Amino acid sequence: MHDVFDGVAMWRVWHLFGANEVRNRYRRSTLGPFWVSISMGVQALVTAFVLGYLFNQPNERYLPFVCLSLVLWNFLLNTVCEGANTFIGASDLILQVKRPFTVYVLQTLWRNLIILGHTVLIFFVVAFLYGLFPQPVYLLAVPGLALLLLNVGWAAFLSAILATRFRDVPLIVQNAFTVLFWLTPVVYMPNQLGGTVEYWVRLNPLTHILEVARVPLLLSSPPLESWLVAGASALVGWAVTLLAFARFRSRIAYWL
Amino acid sequence: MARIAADRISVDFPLYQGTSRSLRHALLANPITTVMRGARHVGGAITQGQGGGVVVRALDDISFTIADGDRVGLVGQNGAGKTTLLRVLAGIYEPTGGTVAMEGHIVPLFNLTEGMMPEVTGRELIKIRGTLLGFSPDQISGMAADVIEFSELGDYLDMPVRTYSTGMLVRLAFAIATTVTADILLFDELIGAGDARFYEKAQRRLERFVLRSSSMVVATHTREVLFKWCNRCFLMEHGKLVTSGTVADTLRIYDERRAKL
Repeated sequence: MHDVFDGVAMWRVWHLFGANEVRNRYRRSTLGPFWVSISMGVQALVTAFVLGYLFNQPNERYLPFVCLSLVLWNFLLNTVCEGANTFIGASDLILQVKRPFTVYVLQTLWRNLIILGHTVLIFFVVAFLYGLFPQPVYLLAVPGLALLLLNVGWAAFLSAILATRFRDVPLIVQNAFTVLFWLTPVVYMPNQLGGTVEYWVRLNPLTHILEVARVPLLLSSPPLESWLVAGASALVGWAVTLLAFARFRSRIAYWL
Repeated sequence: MARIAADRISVDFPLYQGTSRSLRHALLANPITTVMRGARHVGGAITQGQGGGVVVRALDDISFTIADGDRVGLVGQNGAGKTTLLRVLAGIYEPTGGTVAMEGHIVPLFNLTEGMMPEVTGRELIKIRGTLLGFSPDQISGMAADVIEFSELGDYLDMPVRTYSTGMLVRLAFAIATTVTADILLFDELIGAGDARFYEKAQRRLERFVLRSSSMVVATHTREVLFKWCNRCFLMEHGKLVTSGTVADTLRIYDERRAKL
């Protein structure tokens, strides 16, 4: 636990490093990090038009939905996948100086949060074009996004620990997410399914983690069930992660 | 105040590459490797761990104390465990056996280019290194002035470090590293920098820097360094601490042992 507190306290380090990594990725390009906004926007719009046509969905409802879903999903996917490589990628730094491991995890989270800040702009543009202006229910997005972040946080942390020991983990995580993308209502709405399939999809915690962050921004209130599942997942996930971390922290440097 | 007390520390590295089973198989079955077993080799002992995997014993039952004012040189062949020992002292590896008690602020200077990204400018690099060393923005601007003056890089500080020559990069890294104040300094080969004129200046700065800290541990192959900077010297071999004494005594034993090989 000390490691976690010390890590958070070293905010200057992860803050600077996370931001620097984003900056370096887009240095010398004219648009800088707004390239992620653009590529996200193109991806979301194309997906929305094609699937909207296939599903026969009205654009004004479906387009903002798909944009937001893909933005959040990409945040989740990238953070956890990059999370798996957190310690492996930072091995040079880890073998130089003793520093709380949490610093590197927070660096990954912060970097992806900055990127989320850029991609989510696309959703706001689309939402405003279709007249979805902020309403009081927007405030629910704050705890919703916080829950999403908490869940993404433990998943990234845990996969970072596991991946350092078992180098297959980053590949497993990547493959799992390709499958999960279709098993989670990202590009379709849960109620589009109906019947038994919807029941099964609602057993997937990712559905609820996505819902609590997504639904308020689309101007309705997430069901209680989603809040409970997302909250429970965050609690259980962090408990497992912190136990695993406490158990294996001293071994991580040896595994590198 | 600085003090390090190591009590019977050992470090075992588990080896995960490949399957340990087939490696064990090879060790037992292959006539060539069978002959090789027990033969002289550099590095720590390769043994079988409890789980049946292969384990490298990088440090083997090492005890010593380093008191305030001690400047210790570590000598030994490649793979003797010098770097591993430094990493244990830096707190990077927690020993698998034994304990280390440490007092004082420890600053490891193993790689001066830590956190160096080719696209950042010299000025940004000062900020990055300063942050990594745990300085606040105020301290960093104080440090920056000193580094800029010493490194003589002038306008290049606003250029990306990718445009620097190796010498310029070393100047900058050296200047940044030597602004630190620590109780215990750890070096893996002592740092040096630059062309002839700069070398003199760097030596003076290094001297002040080392004297500012109360203790130092340096792994080195350079005898000049040992005689100039160290008052004690540890000889390591296959992860064991063979002897510790004055620089002259330890080096004499080292030479005798090498002559016997």
